[in-house]
Amino acid sequence: MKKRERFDVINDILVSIKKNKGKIKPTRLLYSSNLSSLMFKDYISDLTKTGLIAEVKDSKGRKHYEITEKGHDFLRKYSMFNEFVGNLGL
Amino acid sequence: MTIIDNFPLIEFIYSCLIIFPSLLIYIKTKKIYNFKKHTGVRYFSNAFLFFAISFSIRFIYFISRSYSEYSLSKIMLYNNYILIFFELFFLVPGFYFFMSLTYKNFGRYRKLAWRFGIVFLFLVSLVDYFTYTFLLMYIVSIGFFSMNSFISYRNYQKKQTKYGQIYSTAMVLLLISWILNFSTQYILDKIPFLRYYVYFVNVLAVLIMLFIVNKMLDNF
Repeated sequence: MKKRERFDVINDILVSIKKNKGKIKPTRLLYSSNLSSLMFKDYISDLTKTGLIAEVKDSKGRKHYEITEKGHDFLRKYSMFNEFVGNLGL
Repeated sequence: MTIIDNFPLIEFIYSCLIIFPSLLIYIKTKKIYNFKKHTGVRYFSNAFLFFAISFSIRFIYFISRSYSEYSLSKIMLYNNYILIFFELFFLVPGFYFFMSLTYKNFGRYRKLAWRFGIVFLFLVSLVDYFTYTFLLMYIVSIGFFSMNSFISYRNYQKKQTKYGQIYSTAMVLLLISWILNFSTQYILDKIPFLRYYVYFVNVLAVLIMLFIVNKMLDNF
């Protein structure tokens, strides 16, 4: 299996959240991301800092992650990028 | 005097139709390169930058020959080693398209392949300069665009994508333009206006590329 690049991992994480109606619990996201817990923490930290996802706590203090507008924009651009590269064989 | 006889005007229009679309393509593809640093995109993007540069130099050179009182033409005519770089800039786009399609095959020797390629192109320019001809430039460019056409068509055959087919067509048009260009210089030099077919094919190829880039990267 080909090793995923950083952008691919970010895309996979955001797609997982998007497929779960835009919000997801941490454990579920960890399983769907196919990452070790250490790497998962690093990625989530980066994604939160760059504003692609937001950590939200509900009234009972339970945490979940939501994809932001910036995250949606990333997914859109990533898709366009892949289509461009794939079509031209670059 | 008809419009076809007005050489400076034709050259101006032709140059604009190559330079501005090439720069637009470069700017748009630079944007996606800034999004994700992809080697193939970088070569593809820079090919158009060199298209724009080479046609700008070409325009200045040919127009200054028509108006020889301008000092730039004197600089270029009396220091004609500049022709070495003139030819090099014309060779680079074909090489960069080739690298954009094949860089993965070089693996960790990719940078070495690029350096070797640039040195090779510089040597080609030198040989042509000392032999007072552009023959090697034509042969090498036809070679590159033949390979580019074959590879892009093979890529299209594998993936059957709509824009892949159009891209492959644009590569073939660029190959045809180089073959026609070679023909006007060495074989069919007695046929009038053949040069204008070269211009037409070149412009068509670049505008097709611009169409592809615009369609796929609209609102990026």
